[in-house]
Amino acid sequence: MQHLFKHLGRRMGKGLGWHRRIKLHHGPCDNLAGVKTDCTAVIVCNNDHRTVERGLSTGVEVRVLRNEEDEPNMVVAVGDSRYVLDRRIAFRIKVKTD
Amino acid sequence: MMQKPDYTIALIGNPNVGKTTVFNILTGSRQSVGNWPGVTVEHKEGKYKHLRKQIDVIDLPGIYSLTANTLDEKVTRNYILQNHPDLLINIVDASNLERNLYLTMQLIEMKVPMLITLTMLDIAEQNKVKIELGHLQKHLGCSVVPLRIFHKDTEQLLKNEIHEALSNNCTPNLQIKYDDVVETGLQVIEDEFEFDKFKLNTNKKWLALKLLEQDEEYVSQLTDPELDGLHNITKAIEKHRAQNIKNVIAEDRYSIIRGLILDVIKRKSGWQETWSDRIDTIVLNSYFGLPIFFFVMFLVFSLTIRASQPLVGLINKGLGWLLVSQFGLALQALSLPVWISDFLTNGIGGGLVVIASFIPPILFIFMSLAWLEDSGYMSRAAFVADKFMRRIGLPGKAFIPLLVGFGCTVPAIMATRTLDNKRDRIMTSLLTPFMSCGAKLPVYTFLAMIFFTKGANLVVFGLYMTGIVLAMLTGLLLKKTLFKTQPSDFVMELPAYHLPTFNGIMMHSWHRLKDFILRAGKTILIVIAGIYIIQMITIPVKNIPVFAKDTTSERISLLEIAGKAITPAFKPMGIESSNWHASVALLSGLFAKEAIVGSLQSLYEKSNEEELSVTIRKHFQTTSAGIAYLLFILLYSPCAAALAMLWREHGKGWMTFAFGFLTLQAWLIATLFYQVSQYRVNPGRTVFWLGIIQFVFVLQYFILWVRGKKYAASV
Repeated sequence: MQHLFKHLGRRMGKGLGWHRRIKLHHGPCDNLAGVKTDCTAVIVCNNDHRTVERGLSTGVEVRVLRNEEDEPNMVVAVGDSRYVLDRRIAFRIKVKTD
Repeated sequence: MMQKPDYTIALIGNPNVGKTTVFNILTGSRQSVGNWPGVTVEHKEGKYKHLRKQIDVIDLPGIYSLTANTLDEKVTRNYILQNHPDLLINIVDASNLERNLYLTMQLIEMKVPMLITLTMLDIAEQNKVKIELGHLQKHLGCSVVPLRIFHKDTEQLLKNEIHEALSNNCTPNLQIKYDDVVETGLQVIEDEFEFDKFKLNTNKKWLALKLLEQDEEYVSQLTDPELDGLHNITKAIEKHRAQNIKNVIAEDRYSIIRGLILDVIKRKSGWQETWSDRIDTIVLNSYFGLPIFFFVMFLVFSLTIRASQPLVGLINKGLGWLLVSQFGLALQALSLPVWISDFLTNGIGGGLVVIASFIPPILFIFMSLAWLEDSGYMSRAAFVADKFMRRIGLPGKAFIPLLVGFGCTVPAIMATRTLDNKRDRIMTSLLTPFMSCGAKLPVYTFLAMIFFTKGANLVVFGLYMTGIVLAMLTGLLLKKTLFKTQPSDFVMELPAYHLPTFNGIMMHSWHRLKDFILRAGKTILIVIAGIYIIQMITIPVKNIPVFAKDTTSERISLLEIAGKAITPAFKPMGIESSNWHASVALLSGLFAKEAIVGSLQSLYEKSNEEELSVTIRKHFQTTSAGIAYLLFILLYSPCAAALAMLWREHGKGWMTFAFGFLTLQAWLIATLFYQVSQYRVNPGRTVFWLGIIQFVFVLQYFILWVRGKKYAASV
C-alpha cells in the first residue's frame, strides 16, 4: 500500500488536475495591511485558514473600508461581508493593487 | 412525565443570521438553557407540537464552518455526527449568501437531511440583491424557504415546511466536485483506508475530506502506513496547487459557491455601499467613533445603575420584610431554638435577599448587552475600544464587563462570557473588582464624610479614578507577567445593523438571569450562609484572655476573633490594635461591601452620628490612616458573591488567586500611602516599610512572571 501512495503522490505532483488556480500576477504586490482606506486589492496569497474560510481566498477582491496606521485593526469588505481584521493577520495576506 | 419526541431538529447557521429569532418563533417560551457536556458552550433546547407531532428543537452555536477549530464548531459537528437529528434547519443570511453557503456546502458534504431558510431578506432587498429562489433550490437539491420574521404567518409557514421536510427525504443531492488532483486523492483515501475504526455513521467522502484537511480528531486514529499515505497525497496536492491543503479545499468550496452565486443572484456589478456602511462611516469615524462609544456606554451604565437602584431598594425592603422579619416572627411562633431561627432568618433569608438584590442590575445589564449584540453595535464598540484596551493587553470587547463593574462585580464577571478566549475572560474578571461597585459607594460616602467634612465628594470621585488608574497599571503588570501571551489575533464580522426584536431581547436576558438565579445563586447562598455561621458562633471571652480587655460583652464571635487576630497585619497601614473594629468590618465586607458601614456602626457602639464620627476619627488617629483604609476597601478582595461567581466561571484556582492577589495589592497600596504620609513623623519607619513594599512587589512580579511562563506554555 505504501508503494501505491508513493507512486500516486509522484504522479499527482507531476501535474494531474486543472492548473486553473495558479495565477501569475503582474504589478505591485503588497500585504493587505498596507492598502489604504477606500482602495481595493485582489488577494494573491493567503495562508490564514480562518480568513480563507470567511471568503478571503485567492483571487478575491477586497475593499478596505478603514485603515488607520495607529489602530491595531482594519475594516474590510469582502463580497457582502464586512470584517474587522487584526493587523497581524492583514500583514500575512499578500495582495495585488492596481 | 417527559414525552418522547417524534422528531428532533437542530438549528444551524453562521452567527448573527437570526438563528435565535427562528428558535423563539418555533418554541416560544418552551425553552431550557444549559451547557453542552463538559464545556461552557451554551446549549439551548426547546419543543413544540405541530400536526400532533412532538418536535424537539436544538439551537446549535453560531459557526462559520465545521472545521472544529473552535469549541463551538467542535460541539456542533459532534452533535450532528453522534445524535443524527432528523432534520437540520440551516439558517442562511440572504444579504450575505456567499459566505453563508460555505457552511451549507460542508453540511451538504455530510449528507444530512436539511431544510434551508433564508433570513434578512429585507436587508438583501435594501442592498438591491435579488435571489432566484427556484434556481437556488434546484442547484442545492433541497427546499429553500424565505422567512420574513415580522410576518404573522411566518410561524405556520415554517412549521408546515419543517413537517413537509420531515415527511419526505430532504437530503440535498448536490454533488460537490473538487479539483481533479483533490478528487483523485480523496478516491485513494476512500479505497485504501480502513474506515470502521472511526465508528461514525457518516459517508466516506466526508471523512476522507476531514483526513485531507488534517483534522486532528481523525488523523490521530490512522495507522502508520495510512499516515505515510496521507502525507504523500497531501504533499502532492500542496505542490500542485502551491498552497496549504486546508486552503486548497476551502478555496475549491468557494469556487463552487461563486459559480452558483453568479447563477442565482442578480445585482448591480461593482462595489455597492450599503446602509450599514454609511452608518459605519460615522460610528467608526476617528472623531465621532469614540464619543459615540462613550455615550452608548454611558447609557448602558445609567440604565443599569439608575433604573435598577429603586428596584434594588424595593426588593431589599420588600423581601427583607418578608424573608427576614415576617419569617423570623413565624419561626419564633414555632418556638425553635434561637440559633436555628437566627440562622434561617438572617443567614438563609438574608442571603436570599442579597441574591434577589442582584436581579435588577443583572437583568438590565443583560437587556442592554442583548440590545447591543442584536442591533450589531457590539462589534463596532469592540472595534472602537480595541485601540486603548490593547495597551493593557485586552481586546476592545473587555471594556463592557469593566464598565458593568461600576454597577456590580457579579454581572461584570458574567459579562466576560462575551469575550472570545479564556485568557481575555480571566484577565478581565481579575480587573473588574478595581471598578468601584455600587455597594462601595455608601462606604466611601460614610467614611469620607467623617474624615473630610468639606470636599467629601472629591474624595469619593478620587477613589473611583484611583480604581481606574490602578486597573490599568494592574493590567500592564499582568500583561507583562502572568498573561504574557498576546490577546488573540481576531477576525470579527461586522453584521449589518438591524432593529432587535423585543421578544428576542427579553428571551435572551431571561435565560441569562435564570442561569444566574439557579446556578450562581446556589453558590452565593452557601457562601453567605457560611460567613453568617462564623459570625453567629460565639465563645466565652474568658477562654481567650488576649481579647478580653478589648470587649465589654461576655461572648465573642468567631468573626470578631478573626478580625482581632488579623489587626496586626493592618498596623503598617495605620490601623492600631485598639482599632480592631475596622478589621472586623473588613471581614464583614467580604459578605457584602455595604455591610462595612453597618459593622462599623454596631462595633463602635455609639448611638448618635456625631459621637460615632468622633469615635471613628479617634480610633484612626490620623486622616491619612482613614484614606489608607478607604484605599484598602477600594482594592481588597471582592465580596463573597463575586468570589463565588469567579469560582463558577473560572474555577477554584483563579478565585483563590483573585482573593490573594487583590488583597495583597490593597495592602501594598494602602501601606505605601500611609507610610509616605508619615515620613515627617517617623522617617526611619517609612523607609523600612518602603523597603518591604519594594521587596514584596519584586517578589510578586517574579512569581507572576514564572507562573506566566508556565501559563503561556500551557496555552
